[in-house]
Amino acid sequence: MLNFGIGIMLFAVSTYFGLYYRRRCRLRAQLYAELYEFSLYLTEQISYSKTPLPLIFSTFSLGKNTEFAALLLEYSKEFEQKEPTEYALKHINDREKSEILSFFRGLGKTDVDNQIKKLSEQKQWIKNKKEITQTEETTKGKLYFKLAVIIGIALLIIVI
Amino acid sequence: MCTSIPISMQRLLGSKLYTKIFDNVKGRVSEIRVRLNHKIFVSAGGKFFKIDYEVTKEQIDNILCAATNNSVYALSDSMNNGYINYGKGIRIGIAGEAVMDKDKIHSIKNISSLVIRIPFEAKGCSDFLPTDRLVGRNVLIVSPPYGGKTTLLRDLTRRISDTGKNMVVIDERYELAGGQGVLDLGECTDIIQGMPKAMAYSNAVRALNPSYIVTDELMGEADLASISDIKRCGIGVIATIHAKNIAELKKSKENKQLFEVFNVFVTLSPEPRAGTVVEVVYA
Repeated sequence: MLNFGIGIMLFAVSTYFGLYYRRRCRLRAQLYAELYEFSLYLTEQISYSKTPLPLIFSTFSLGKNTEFAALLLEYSKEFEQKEPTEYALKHINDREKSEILSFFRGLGKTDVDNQIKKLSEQKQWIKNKKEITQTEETTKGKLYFKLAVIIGIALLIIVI
Repeated sequence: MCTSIPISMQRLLGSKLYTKIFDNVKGRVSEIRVRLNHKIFVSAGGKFFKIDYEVTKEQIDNILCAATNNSVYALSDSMNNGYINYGKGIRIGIAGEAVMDKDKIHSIKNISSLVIRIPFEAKGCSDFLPTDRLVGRNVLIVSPPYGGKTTLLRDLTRRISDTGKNMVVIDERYELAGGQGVLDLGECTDIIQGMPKAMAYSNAVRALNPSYIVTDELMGEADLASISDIKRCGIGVIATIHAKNIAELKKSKENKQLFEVFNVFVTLSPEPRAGTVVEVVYA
């Protein structure tokens, strides 16, 4: 009975790690998909309406309950405070975080033509990243989850 | 001064710079000059003050960020014309390096100087000009810089407007009206802001049916030709021009049209203080 209990626990732990990793892949893909959508929105707002950045940030994040929307709202505070904040982005590494913040900090510093030009260049790496993370979600995410379940079952059998 | 202007200035300058300036200056601040790697100069109460504070590039960038609401692209058109409208009538003149695209200014970069002008309402400062003596006349206010032309123009517009005359104010650089409801230009005043004067004159005459057109800082042949056209339409003109006095104006052949359009000349001087009336000539 004890062995069965331990086996179930090991199965649960293994499955949990699989779920966690799959969720992580999904959230990464979602973050970069939203970042790409935001870059398109930025281009449209800057080209046609010359909408000020604080309004673009607040409008895009309105009604959204995602990590990216929370990042936009948090970053908006820099417009007033002018002090960089520590951003808790859970599912990306420091280099990726630095790239995203660098993208934000490059906004609003130049005229329309140069801003649009710079956005066009940056959209490409954002699009690449979006595609990579989407691929990760559909392949690695599912694969590691299945692997975790299999390992869990194996551990359960071994222990029992 | 409007109660919201100090809040705007604090946001623009940052609390540290705002405190440094406004705690060390006596009198109403009308102009702040910020230059990279130099001390700050402030014009207040008719005097100049030098603030012991050297401006860094970061501070100029911070002021520009605040002035443009972190969106330089949104104001690049006006920046190419040398100014930023910050709102509440606060105008920021900028000096930097022009990036040219053939004959046009593409952008301004490496901005190293900012001149922040704060509007001032002096109700009653034009009382020496009775409105009944101005009926059917065109008024030109002549003064060198810091003479108080814009302040006088604003008050005169308000007083004539409140007699029921329809006034159209051409406020190309947002200095006269300062945004909706910020500065009082009278009950019967329509304001065209941000539009080049030549276009604005045409719109005003065709669509707004004014009794008077009011404009600040006449400059160049295009402006002079436009006001001549306005006069021909039977519309009154009230305007300002940069010059030491009427004699200086007469020296230039280009200004001949002025004397064909205007028949009331008010000369101001910045000495002993802004708004000092030197002479009023009814031609």
